[in-house]
Amino acid sequence: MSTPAFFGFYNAQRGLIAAQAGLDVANHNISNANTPGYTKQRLDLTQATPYQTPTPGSSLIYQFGQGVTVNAITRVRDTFLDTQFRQETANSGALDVKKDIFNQVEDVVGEPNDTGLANGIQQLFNAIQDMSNRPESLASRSAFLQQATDLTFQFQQQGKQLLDLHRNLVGTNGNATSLTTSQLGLSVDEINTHLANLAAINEQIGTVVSSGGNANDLQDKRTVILNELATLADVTVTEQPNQQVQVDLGGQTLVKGRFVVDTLTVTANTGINADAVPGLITTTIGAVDITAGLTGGKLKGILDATGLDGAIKNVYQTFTDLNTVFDQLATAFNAVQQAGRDLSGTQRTPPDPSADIFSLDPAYVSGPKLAFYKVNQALVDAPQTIALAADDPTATANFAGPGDSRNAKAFGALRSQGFVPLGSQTFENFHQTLVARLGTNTKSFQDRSASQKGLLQQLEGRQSSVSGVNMDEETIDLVKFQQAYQASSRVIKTYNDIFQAILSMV
Amino acid sequence: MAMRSLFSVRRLKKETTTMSIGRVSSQFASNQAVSLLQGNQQRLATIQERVASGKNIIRPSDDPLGTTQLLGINVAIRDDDQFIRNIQDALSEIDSSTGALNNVTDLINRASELATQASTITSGSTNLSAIENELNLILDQVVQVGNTSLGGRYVFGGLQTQSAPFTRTGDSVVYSGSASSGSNARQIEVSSGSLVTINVPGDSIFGDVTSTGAPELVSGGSGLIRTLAELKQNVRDGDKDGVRARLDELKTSLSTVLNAQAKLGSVNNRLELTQNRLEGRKSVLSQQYARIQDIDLPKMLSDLNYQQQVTQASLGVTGKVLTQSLLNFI
Repeated sequence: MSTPAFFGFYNAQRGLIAAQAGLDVANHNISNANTPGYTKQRLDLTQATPYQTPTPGSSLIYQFGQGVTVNAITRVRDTFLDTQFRQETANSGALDVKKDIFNQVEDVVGEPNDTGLANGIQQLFNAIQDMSNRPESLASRSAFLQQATDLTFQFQQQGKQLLDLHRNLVGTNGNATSLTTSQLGLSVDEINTHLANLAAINEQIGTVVSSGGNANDLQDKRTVILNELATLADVTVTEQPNQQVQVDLGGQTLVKGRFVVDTLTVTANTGINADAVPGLITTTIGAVDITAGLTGGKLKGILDATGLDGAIKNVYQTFTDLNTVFDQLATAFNAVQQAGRDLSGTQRTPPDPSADIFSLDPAYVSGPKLAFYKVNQALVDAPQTIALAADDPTATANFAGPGDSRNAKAFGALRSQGFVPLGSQTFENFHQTLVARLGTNTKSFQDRSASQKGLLQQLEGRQSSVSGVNMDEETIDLVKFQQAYQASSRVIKTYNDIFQAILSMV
Repeated sequence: MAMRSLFSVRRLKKETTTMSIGRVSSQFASNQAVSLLQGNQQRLATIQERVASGKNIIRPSDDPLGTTQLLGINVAIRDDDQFIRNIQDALSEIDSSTGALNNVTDLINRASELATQASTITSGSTNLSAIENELNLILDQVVQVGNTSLGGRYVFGGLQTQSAPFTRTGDSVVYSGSASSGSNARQIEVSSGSLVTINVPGDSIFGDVTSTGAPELVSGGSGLIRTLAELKQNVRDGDKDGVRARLDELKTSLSTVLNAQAKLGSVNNRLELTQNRLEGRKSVLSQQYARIQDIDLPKMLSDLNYQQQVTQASLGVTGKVLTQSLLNFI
């Protein structure tokens, strides 16, 4: 029973190598403790194959341990948590975008506030009461026209801000450049860039794996990209045999191994009221519309907030609501104006658009009228032409006198009248409903986004509890492997001493 | 862990989900600390925003239901403000109408005195021509009162508010305001949909007269003005029966004026009562508004104080926990 002369040396050398590998892994872990997406690496050690030696004069076979072997350096990762995390990241991405968009809509609508539309409508009707108290007064008529001008401006301002927001998100219909520079277009660009990067990393991983290596760090980088991708769209990730991944979105394969199979493009729709419906997301090859297949991510959030989700009042609908209520207000006021008689007893027969209170710009062709209304300058110049007196067949020349304010009361009565285009609601109720619905939607997105954040944090915690680097742990490893290294060195020294002793005997 | 339990005491807004984790990575510990500290600072900012603005609801999502309530209450308050303004406007006009009618009662009383005197004086006396002169002045004054205006508006002209309703030429007085038989009511809105008439047309109180010839003889007309013109004529003619008949007519005119005054008085009362009611309602509404919108300052300040302490404590704890490392000991 004996071992070769240098058996001990080799044994100790393997110990040294393992200890050094341990130090290297701990070192790598410590260095990357704060690298996003980094996965803690672990040294896989096993015992080396034992040295077997038969004993002369005995049937026994002795096994001498040959020390330790470095088996592999592995990545401590729970891939199921990764999938879950990506899914929730996509949900969170959609909710965050919707929350941000609706916060902006709230800022535009600006209620409850002393300068909002609710107040503007109120002021307009108060001005009518003042006119009704003193129909002869040109001052009260001018005050009313000033209120009407202010209100028009407020409506147009809010309308424009909402339309700008909508167009900033999904572009203007029929304008290809605006589509590519919209939030939607930029997000799609971002996705395509990620796809290219994924294919490149897949290729590198494939090379490492096929040469028998472990592509730990590349996989971490890929996880980061996949998470970023998930913020934008709810991609499905499938592992392939050589540690590469396949990425699908809306049933279409985008990346497979080292190839980008397909990319995304945004195509504007071409409907009549095209501004209302956002651009569609299609794949470049085969032009498959995958809009309906999206369930999460920033893309879904933008599309939902601009018209895809029928359950919420989207940005464009908020704009059209303002347009509808102002159009109704202008139409109703003009009708009352045409029916009455002005301060000098004149009535417009047949109705004369040049005497309207809210005049529509002749440049108007079709679509929302809001931006084309303005308070008639002819009335501002001659406020006596506001028709505050009733058309009274019992009076001389159908005009009861300048003190007649019955038509002013007809203006005032518009306030409590329900209009069919407003769902039989009054102007103010319609606006209140809009504000309430906006508040409810926004609050729901705020709450859901916050709880989704909590969920993400929880998942992150769980993932990090598996894969994160704990400094104390690594420090202990450092000490442990340092001592192992020292011990192995001592072993070598011991063998050396023995050899010295033997050699000195010669 | 001690740090987390401290943070989860009494949250103002969302509770971040607490979790049980066996192994804590260094990065996660610092990320978690950052997000908890940010949470504290956000809550602190929310309280500060509320305290600074004094409002509970700054945007609809703060309280969607409360927002609609606020908008509704605001409409009602502003409405009441406007109605009160309408009423005050109307009250000042009623004041001047009632004042004018007081003058008319004085003038009628004086005319009656003169008529009584005239009925006892023998004809041809110089006193009669003095009485006739004074009656002439009274007629002038009645016409003047009928043309009372307030802020450029003739109060007895019905809807013809821009021109003087009574014009005297010789012994003829023409009424050109809205006739009491036609549209003549000026109305104001005193509460939603409820209209109150605040004027009496001049012809119903003062009447008018047409006279022809020289000396002029009354040939038509009605009411106080005709009576006065006819009385003047009777005095000039020394027609004592006529004067006595005019005396009776003056009594009728007086009661017409008193009726009109009573009518305006009751409108006045109704307006004042409505104003009181509106002011009462407004103060109730303002309280409701304040209940929803005004912050509970003592509570907010105590929350603020509390949150400041929590933030400080968490900073302290974070500082202690995050710097703990095995490296300090080896």
